[in-house]
Amino acid sequence: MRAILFCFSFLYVAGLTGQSITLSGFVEDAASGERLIGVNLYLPGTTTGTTTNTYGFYSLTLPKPADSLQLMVSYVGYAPMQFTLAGNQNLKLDIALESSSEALAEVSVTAKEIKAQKTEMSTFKLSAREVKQIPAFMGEVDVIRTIQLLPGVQGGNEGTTGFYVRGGSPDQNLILLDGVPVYNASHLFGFFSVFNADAIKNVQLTKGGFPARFSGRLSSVLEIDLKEGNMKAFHGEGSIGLISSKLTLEGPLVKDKTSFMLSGRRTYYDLFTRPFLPDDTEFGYYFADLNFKLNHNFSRKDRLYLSFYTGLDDFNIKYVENPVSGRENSFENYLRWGNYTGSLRWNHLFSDKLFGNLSATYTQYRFLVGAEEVIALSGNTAAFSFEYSSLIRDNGLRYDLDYVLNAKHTLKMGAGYTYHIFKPSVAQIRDRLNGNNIDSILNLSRPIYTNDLVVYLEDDWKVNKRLRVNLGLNYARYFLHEADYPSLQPRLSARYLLTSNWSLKGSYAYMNQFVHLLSNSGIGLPTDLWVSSTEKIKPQRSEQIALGSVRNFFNDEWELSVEGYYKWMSDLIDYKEGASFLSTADWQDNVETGGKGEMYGIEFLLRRNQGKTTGWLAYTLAYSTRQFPNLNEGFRFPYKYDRRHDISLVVNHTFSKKMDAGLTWVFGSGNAFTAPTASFFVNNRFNPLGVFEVDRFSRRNAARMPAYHRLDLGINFHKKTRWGRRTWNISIYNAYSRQNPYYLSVQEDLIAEERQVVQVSLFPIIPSVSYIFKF
Amino acid sequence: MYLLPLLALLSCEKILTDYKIPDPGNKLTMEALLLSGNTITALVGESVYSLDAASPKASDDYTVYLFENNILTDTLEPQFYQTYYDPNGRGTTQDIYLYHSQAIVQSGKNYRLEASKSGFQTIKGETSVVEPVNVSYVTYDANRERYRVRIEDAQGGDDWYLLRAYYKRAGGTFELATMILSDPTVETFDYYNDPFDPDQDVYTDEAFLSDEYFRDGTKQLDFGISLPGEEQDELYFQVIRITEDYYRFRLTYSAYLNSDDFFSEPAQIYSNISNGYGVVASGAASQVELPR
Repeated sequence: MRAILFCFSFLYVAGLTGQSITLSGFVEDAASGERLIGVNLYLPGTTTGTTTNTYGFYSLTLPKPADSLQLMVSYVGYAPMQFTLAGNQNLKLDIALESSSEALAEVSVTAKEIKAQKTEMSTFKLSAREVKQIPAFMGEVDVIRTIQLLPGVQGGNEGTTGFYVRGGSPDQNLILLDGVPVYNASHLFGFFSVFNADAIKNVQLTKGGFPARFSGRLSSVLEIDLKEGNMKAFHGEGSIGLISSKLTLEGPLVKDKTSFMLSGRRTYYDLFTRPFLPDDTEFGYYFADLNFKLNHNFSRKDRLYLSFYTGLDDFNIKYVENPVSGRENSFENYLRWGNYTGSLRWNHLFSDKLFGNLSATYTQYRFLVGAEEVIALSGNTAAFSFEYSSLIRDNGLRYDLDYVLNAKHTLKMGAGYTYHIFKPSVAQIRDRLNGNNIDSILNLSRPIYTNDLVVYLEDDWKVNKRLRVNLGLNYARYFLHEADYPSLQPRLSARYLLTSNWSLKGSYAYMNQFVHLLSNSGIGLPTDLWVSSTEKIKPQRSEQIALGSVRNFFNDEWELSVEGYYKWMSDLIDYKEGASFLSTADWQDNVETGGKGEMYGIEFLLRRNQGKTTGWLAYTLAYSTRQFPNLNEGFRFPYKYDRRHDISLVVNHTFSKKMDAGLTWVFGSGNAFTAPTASFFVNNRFNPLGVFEVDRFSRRNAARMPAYHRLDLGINFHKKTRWGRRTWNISIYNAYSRQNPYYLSVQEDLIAEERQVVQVSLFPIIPSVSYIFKF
Repeated sequence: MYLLPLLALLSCEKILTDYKIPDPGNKLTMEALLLSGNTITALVGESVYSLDAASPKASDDYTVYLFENNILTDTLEPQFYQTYYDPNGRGTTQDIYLYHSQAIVQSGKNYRLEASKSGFQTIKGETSVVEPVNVSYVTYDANRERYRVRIEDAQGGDDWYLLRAYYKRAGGTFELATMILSDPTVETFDYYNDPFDPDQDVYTDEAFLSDEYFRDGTKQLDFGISLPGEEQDELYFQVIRITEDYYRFRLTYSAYLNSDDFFSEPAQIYSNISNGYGVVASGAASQVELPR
C-alpha cells in the first residue's frame, strides 16, 4: 500500500514542471447535437492524444509547441476532421462531427481507431449501428446477443441472453444503463434482453484491466449509454416485427437547449391470442420496455440528464368456473418481473481541465408470483390469495471528477454511496370474506439493508512516448449491522508501443463483489435470487492478470489482438446440492460457501471496422473451474459454462445504399453437465417396499454435450421515402437448422427395452421479417 | 403469424445414438449401519451402467467377509429380503437378499466389510464404532407441551447425533413418533415446515445434531411430540451417536431425493466404499423414557 501511495505522490510531483497548453471542449454529432463518447483526438504523427469521456468532453494538455499544431479528430462511423490550431495558448474547441453512415457506401475515407495506441485492454466498443447490423433473432436485434459474439464472452444456453465473461458467472457482470446497475437484463426467460436497440447510443464491454472507477463485480462491466435526444430536429424510428413492435421519438423541446428521447417496445402475443380464447378465460404473456431521457443544457458548463427505464414481463392466466348454479369461482395465476432504473446526472465544467459529474441513481428489480381464488355465492364473496416475491433496490449518489493535471497525467477520482435493500423471499397470504380481510406477510428470508461506500483515484500516466500506464486504487466499504467488509483494490494497466501501430499490453485488477446471485438454472430465470453479503456469506473476490498484444495493419483498417488471462476467485457461493429457489428455508441455509474459481485462457481477435465489409473473427481457448469444500466431494470441477473452444465469425457487407447484409457463425465446445453414469440399490428407510434404485453421477460437470454451432443470416433493403427511410429486414436464425443441445437426459425406451440419451433442442431454423422506419 | 415463435418455443427431441455417457464399469455396492449391541445386516449388490437395459442387482451370489480389528471373524450369509419390481418400465422382477452376521457390534472396535464376486473388484467399507452418550430426561413443560432432555458427551470431538422418538403401539411394535422442533442448531433433512407458523416449528421423524453445539460437553434440547390418536404404552427419546460417514450419507441421500426438479444440480450420494458405491458406517444408541 505504501508503495502505491508513494508511486502516486511521485507522479504528481513529476508532472508539475514545464510549460504547456490545454485544448478542451465537447464533441458532438453535427446532425443531432448528441455528445459522442470515446472520440479520438490526437496529434498526427505522434502518440499524443486523448478520447472523449462518457459526456463527450475532452481535455488534452500538451507541451507548448513552437508553432501551430495539427489536431486530428476521428470516430468510427464519422468523417474524420483535422484542425490547424495556434499553439501559443489554451484553446476551447467544441467539435461537431458529420456522420458517414448515411452514405457509407460512397465514403472511402472514414475514421480509424488505432487500438494499438490505447492504454486500455480487454475492452470492446460497439455502436448502435454495429449492433443493428447483426442478424436478428425473431426480428429483434439484441445488444447482449451481440456481446456474446466477442472473444472471451460466451453465451449460456441456446437462445438466451445471459453472458459469461472469462469463465465468470452472469452476476459477476456489472450492467450499467446510463450509469445505473440493471439487475435482471432478461425478458421471456432470457430469450431477449431488456435493452431496446433503438434507444441505445453506445455499448462498451470491459473484461479485465478494470480502471479504478469500476467496482462491485468480478468479471466484466457492460456500459450501455442511451441516446440523449436530438437537439436540432424532431425524428423518430420504429419497427414492426413478428413478436414485437417499437417506436422511438426524439427531438428538441427547446432547440439546442433541451431535448428528449422516448422509446417503447411491446410484444403482442397476448393481444393476438385473446380473440381465440373462451370468454371465461384470459391467458397471455407480454413484455414491454419504456426508456425516457431528457437533457437540458443550462450553459456550456452545466448540463443535466434525466433518464428512466422500466420494463415488465407478465404471464397471466385467469378463468372462471360455475360448478353449481349461482356460484362462481374465478382463479388467477400470475408471474411478473421487471426493473425500474432512474438517474439524474449533472455535468459541470469547472475549468478546461476539470470536469465533474454528480449522479443520483435508483434501481429496482422485483419478481412476483401469485395466485388468487374468488368464490361468489348468493351475494357473498370469499377470496384467498397467495403471493411470493423477491426484490432488490438500490439508491445511490456518486460524484466523479476528470482532471487533466498536466501533459503526462490525467486523473479520474470520485466517491459514491449506495443503499441496498434486499428482500429475497417474501410470502403474503390474504383471506377475505365479505369485506373482512386477514393479511399475513412473512419474510421467508429476513430483509437485509446494507451500505456500500466507494472512493477511487486513477491516473493515466504517459510515462514516455512508448509507455503509458493507468494506475488506480479503489477503496470500498460494504457494511450492514452484522458485518463490515472494507477492501482496498489496486488496479494497473499498461501499454508499451513497439511501433506506432503495434503494442504490448498488460493489466492487473483486484475486485470485490458484495452482492451475489443465487441461480440454479444459469439461464437468467426471474426466479434467480439477488442476495447480500452477510456475516456468514463473505464478499466474492477475484484477481486477474492479462497480457496481450495489439497490431493494426493494412492502413490501420485491420486489427489483430491476442490476449491471455489468468483469473482466480475466492469466497464464491452456490446452492447446496439438491437445493433450489423452491425451498422455503432461509437462502443462507441453502448455500455452500468458501468456493474457489480458477480461469485462464487466450483470446484472438481479427477485426475490421472500416470499409464496405466489416466484422470480426474471434477465437477463445478457455478453462474455468470451481471448487467447494462440500460440492463434488471437495474435488475441483469444470464450471457449468466452461467452454474449451469458442469461435465467432461476424461479417457485415454494404452492397449499396439500398442493401446490406450480415452473417454470423458461432461454434462452441459442448457445455459441461453432470451425467448419470450408473444406478444401484440403497435400502430405502422410508419405503416399506424396501430397496430403491438410485443414480450414481459422474463428477460434477464431467460430461460434455455435443458441440454447438449455428449460422445466422440477415439482409436489409433500404429505401428513401417522402417521409424518411424504410428498411425491410429479413433474418434467418440457425440457417442450416442445426439441432443444438439444450439439455440431455437418459430415457427408457419401453418398446426397444433399452435406455438412450435423448437430446432436447430448442430452436430450429427461424426466419423472420421486420419493417423498420425512420423519419 | 404466431406459428413461428410458437414453433421456436416448442422443444424437439432427438435420440443420440452415437453419444456415450462415460461408463465407469459395473461395480459392487454395499450399505450397512452397524449399531453397537446389535447384529450386522448389509445390503450388497452391483451397479449397472446408466445406458444398460438391466436393473441393478442385489442377489445371493456375493461373498461378504466381516473383519473385526483387522481379523476375519465371520462370513455374512444371504437371506431373502423381498421381491423387487422394477418401477422403471423394464418389466423385470428379482429377488433381493440382505447379508447377515450374528456377530454383536461393540463400541470401540473397528469393523471392515469386504464383498467380492467373480468379474468384479473386491470392495471394502470400514468403520470404527463410537461410544454411546448419556441422555437424561429433565422436565416436561405442560403449557408449551415441550420435553427437555440433556445429552452429555464426555468425549468431545466432532461427532454427529441422530435424534428420534418412538412409541410402543398397543400391539407391542415400536413406531417412530414425529418430533416438533424449534431449535435452530438441529438439522432436519426430511421435514414439514409451515412457513406461516409464527413459531417456525419443524415436524420431523429424525433430526441431526453436531458436537459443535455442545457447551462443556452438554446439550439441552427442547422438543414436542406429535402422536397419532391411538393408544401408546411407552414413549422413548433416542440419541444415536453416529460416524460422520453416516451423517454425510444421510445428508446427500436426502439432497438426492430433493434434486429431481429441473432447477437443481444432481446430488451425488456420499460413498465411503473403496472400488464401489455405498456406505459402511456405525453408531451407538442411548435412550430415555419420556413421561406420558
